[in-house]
Amino acid sequence: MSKVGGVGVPSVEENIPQVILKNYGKWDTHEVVRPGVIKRIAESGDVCYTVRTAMPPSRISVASMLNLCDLADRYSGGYFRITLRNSFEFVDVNSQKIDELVEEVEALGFPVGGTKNSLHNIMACPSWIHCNLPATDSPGIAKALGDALIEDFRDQRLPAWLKINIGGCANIEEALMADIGIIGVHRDLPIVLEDKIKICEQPTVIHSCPTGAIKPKGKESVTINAEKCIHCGACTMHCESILTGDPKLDGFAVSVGGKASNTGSGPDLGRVVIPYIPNDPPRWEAAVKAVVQIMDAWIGDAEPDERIKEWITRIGWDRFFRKAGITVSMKDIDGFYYGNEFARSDLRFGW
Amino acid sequence: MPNELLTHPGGEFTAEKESETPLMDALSEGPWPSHAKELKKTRYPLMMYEEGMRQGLTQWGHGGMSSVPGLGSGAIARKSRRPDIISHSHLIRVLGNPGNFYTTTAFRKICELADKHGDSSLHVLTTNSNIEICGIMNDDQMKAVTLELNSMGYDVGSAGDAIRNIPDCMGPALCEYATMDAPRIKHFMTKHYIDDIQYPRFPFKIKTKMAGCPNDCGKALLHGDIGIIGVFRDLPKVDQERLAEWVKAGGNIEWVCDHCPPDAMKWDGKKLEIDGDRCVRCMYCINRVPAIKPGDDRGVALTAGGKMKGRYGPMKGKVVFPFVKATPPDYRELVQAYGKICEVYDEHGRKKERIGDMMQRLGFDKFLEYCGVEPSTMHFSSPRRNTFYHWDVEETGRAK
Repeated sequence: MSKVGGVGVPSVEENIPQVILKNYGKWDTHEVVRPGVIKRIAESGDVCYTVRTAMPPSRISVASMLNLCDLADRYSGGYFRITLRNSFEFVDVNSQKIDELVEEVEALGFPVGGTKNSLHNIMACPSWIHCNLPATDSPGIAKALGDALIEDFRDQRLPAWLKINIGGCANIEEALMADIGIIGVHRDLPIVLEDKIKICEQPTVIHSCPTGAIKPKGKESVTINAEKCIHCGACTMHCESILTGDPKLDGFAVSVGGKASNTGSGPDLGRVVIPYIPNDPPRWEAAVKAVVQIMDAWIGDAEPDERIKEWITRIGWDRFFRKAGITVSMKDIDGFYYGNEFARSDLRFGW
Repeated sequence: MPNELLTHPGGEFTAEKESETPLMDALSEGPWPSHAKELKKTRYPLMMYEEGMRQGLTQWGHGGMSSVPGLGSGAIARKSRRPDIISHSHLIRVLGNPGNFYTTTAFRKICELADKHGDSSLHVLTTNSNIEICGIMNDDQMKAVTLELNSMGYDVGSAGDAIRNIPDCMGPALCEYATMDAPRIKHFMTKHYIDDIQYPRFPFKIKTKMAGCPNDCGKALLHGDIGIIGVFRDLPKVDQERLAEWVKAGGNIEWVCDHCPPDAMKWDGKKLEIDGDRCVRCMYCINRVPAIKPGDDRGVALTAGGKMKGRYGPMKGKVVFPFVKATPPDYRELVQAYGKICEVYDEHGRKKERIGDMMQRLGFDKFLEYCGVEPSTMHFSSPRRNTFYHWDVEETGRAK
C-alpha cells in the first residue's frame, strides 16, 4: 500500500515568475493603472502588472477555471494567484497586452476591478449549495449584490475600500470581519430526532450549548429549552440528529464596521445593526436594499479615505442609525456574555 | 443547453431542460459571475440547489470531517436529506500554495482530477485558502485523488480537529509592506506541522492565519485561533529626499500628517519628523507615502483566540507574543512560540472548545502563565480594574 500524505505544499519558487523571484522582497511601490490593474515597481526598476477579476461566489466549474488558465497561459506566462478575497489575479501580465486581456476576460464574464477605493470581491460560503447548517443562501446574496454593485467594483468611485462578506450561519468567520457583513440567522427551535439521537455523543452536545438550554432526557435523549435557546447552531454541528432550519423563520442579519487593518482606530469586528430580514430568493431584493441603504449613507457622508468603521467612529452610532435610516430594536442591544460592555456608560449622546 | 463552453471532455449538463431550474436561471443573469451558471457547467446535482431555493431550506444533511483512506483528515463528508436526488457528496481539501501563487500547469492537473473523480466543480479558496475538489463519491476516488496530488507535490488536509491550512498573504513576493516572509514561513510551517495538519489530535480546530504586516490583509488577528503577523519595532524609515520629490509631484503630505491616527507626524515644509513617543507602527503613513518604509527591526507577533463560532461568541484575537524573530531557515523562535500555544491548548482545552473560549475560561493571565510569557504592556489595552487576583502560596508565604 503506497503512503498517502506527508508531502506539504509546493515551494514558493516553483509557482512564481522570474520577475518576482528576482525582486523577491525588493518591491518598492505600486500604483493602480486602471481599476483592477496594479503595476508593482521594484527597486531595480522591474515592473510586474497584475490584473484582478471577480470570481463567482463559492463554486466555479472546471470549464471556467480552464478558460482562465488558457488566458493566463497566453497573457501572463501561465502564472496567477488567488487573492485572500478569492479574486483571480493574473500575475506578470505583458504590459502591452493588458487592455487585450481585460477585454477577453470581461468577455468570459469575469469583471475586472476590485482595487483600492472600490467594492472588493464578495466572499461567500457554500450554504444551500453544500452545507447542512445555513439559514440563508450566501452565494445567492453575493450574486445579487454583485449585480447591483457591479459599477462600484469596476470603478474606484467609493470613499474608501468596501469589503462585503456573507456567511450562511453564525459559524462563518468572514461576515463580521467585513465593512458590511450578512449573517444567516435561525429563529426556530432545533428539532431532536428521538429515534436517532442515541448515536450522538450526548455530553458533547449538552456542553456545546452556550446557554445551558440542552438537558438530558432519560438516558438516550435530550430536550431543548425554548426559553433559553439562542439559535447559535452549536448543537446541530456536533450531532446529526438535531436539525435546525425553518423556511418560514430563517433569514439573515446585517452587520457593519468590521476591519482588520491597524490603521485608523484599529482592528475590530463588525456590529449587527439589522437583526433580521426574511429570506427572499432568488434575487434577494431585501438584502440588496439594506446594503445599498447603508452604502448610500456612507458615500454621502464619509470623508475621503474613510472606511465604514472610521466613519462610524467619527460620527457615532446615534448618527449612524439616523443617517442610514435604520430603526433600533431591542435586538440591537447585546445581552449575551460580556454584552453589557457595549452598553453606554457616558452621556455623550449624539442628539 | 449547448455545452460549447465545456472545453474538457467527460463533463455533461445534468439539467436536461432549462426550464427545470427557474430559480437558478434567475441567478444566472446579470454581470457578476454566477455560481448558478457555473454549477450548470458541472455534474453537480442541480436539483439540490434548486430545491433549496424553492423551499428556502438546505437539502443537504449532516457532514463533517472524514478520513482519506490511509490518512487522518483531508476530506469532508456530506450526507443528503434528499436521497431521491443524490445520496451523498464528499469533497477533498487541497492545501493552498504559499502566497496563493499557482501555475497553470499544476492547476490544470487539479482541474483534471476534479473532472475525473469529482463532479467537475471546484471551491477555489475556502476561507482558509484551500482548494476544494467537490462531488467525490467514494473512498477509492478520494485516495486516488490524494495520491495523484501527492505525486504533483500537493497535499490534502485541513479538516477536523487539527491544525488547519495556514493561509498567508503574498508577502515580500509582490508587496512592499511585508515585514515577514509569509509565503516561505507558510511553506516551512506546513512541512513542519504536516502530521498535525493531517492527523487531528486537538480539542477542536486550530485555524492559523498569517499576514505579512500590521495591515493584516490575512485578518490574522480577527479570525486566527493563532495569528502570525509581521511587525517592526523601530520607527518607520523616511527617505527625506524622495519625500520632497513626492511632495513636489503633488503628494499631499499635510493631509497624511493630519490623518495620522496617533498624530505622530510633523511636516515643516522640508522635513518630516515622526514622534517616537506617539507612533504606534500602524502602517497608515507607509500605505500612503512611497518614501516611508517599515523599520528594519522586524519580527512577528503571535495572537491567539480570534474566532466566530463557539461558546462565548465572536472574539478578537489577543496578543500573546508581541515580538519574536522569524529567522530562516528553521524559524526556531517562531516555531517555539507557536508550538507553545498549541501545547497549552492541547493540555487545557476541553472537547470542542476553541482557543478563545479556553482563554476566557482559564483567564488571560493564567493562559499567559501557561505559555511561559513574560507579562508586558503589550499584552493589554489597559491594566485591570479590579483587585481580585490569585496569589500563590509561594508568592505570599502564607500557610496552605
